[in-house]
Amino acid sequence: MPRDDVAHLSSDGAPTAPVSLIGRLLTLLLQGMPLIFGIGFIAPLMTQLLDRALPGAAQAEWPLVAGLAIGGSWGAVANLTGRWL
Amino acid sequence: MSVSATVHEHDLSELSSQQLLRLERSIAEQFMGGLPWGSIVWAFTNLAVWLSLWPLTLSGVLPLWAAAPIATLNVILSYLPSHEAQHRIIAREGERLFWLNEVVGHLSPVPLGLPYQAARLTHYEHHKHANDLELDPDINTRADSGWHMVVKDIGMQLQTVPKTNIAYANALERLGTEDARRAGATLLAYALVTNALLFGFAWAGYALEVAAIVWLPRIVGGLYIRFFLSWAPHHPALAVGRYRDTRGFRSRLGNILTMGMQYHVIHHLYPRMPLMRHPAAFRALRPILVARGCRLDGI
Repeated sequence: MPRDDVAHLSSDGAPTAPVSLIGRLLTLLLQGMPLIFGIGFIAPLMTQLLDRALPGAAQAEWPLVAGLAIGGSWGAVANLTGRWL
Repeated sequence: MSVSATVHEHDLSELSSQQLLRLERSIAEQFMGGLPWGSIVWAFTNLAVWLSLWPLTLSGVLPLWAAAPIATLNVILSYLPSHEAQHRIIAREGERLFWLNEVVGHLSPVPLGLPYQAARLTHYEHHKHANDLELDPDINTRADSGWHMVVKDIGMQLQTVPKTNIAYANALERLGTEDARRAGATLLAYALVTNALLFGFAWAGYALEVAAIVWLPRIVGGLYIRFFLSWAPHHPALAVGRYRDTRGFRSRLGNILTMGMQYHVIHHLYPRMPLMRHPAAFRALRPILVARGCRLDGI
């Protein structure tokens, strides 16, 4: 029997509703959302800001690296602390 | 003879509570019904302006400094037409124009990113349990003053999962109906699709553009909506009951910039009365509201 179909037991032994694979994936996705948002949105936002703010940066690779570093680390910290600031 | 004159002719103190309620209902009845064309036109015009910002901004025709405030205004204006639909003010189920009610309900809050059914079900919970610490999904806007509300709200929105969102999810879970489960799933799907769109446009090189059209306006507009549609009309949000949970107030911004919320007390008494009739209904019902001990701060 696939694991997804097995009814789960809560800590007090009472049966709880089985959690589907989609449910588990969604939970993982939501738990990691700040990190995903950091990489998915803050990183390209920072990259574009640097490209526009600094003349000559548009052709270079470093704004992308900096954007990913800022977005990724900001998202990771938010993921750990539960706050964006 | 005006409705107001009718009320003044009665010595309200001589009426029993039931007689007062009957008089109140007979006056309110005169402001009910009819198609709220203003709200319908408002819904579609606002959505059309917001949608037009996408090609105009992404193509560079409209600068970001102009797009952001327009989009913020669109977000602020997007909620109330849907609110009219949530209360079936445009048309009730089974009526000829119910489809229009639902179209307005679904489409109007798109700039805000709020799915209609989740908004409707949680809003009904707000009406049923206004100011209840446990059961009112909007209770998180309660604060000692306007500034306190702003600071508290910014603090909440900086949480990765804001308390306001948790309250809405909890309300849907508490309802436990099939409708509520579907609304919860739609809420989740809406959030995921919105983020996917945001990420897609951002990595395609339009991060600043979507920040100006979607991300920033939702932050600023959301605060404005929670301030004027939730905090202000329910402040201090300490009492419950038909004549206690909502107040009338006078704002320095006036009725239009507060989106009619100075008269929100009328909405909680008669949720199916169209928004644009609230000022006139308030003037007609004011003596009764005073007799009932409603809080009317300067209005």
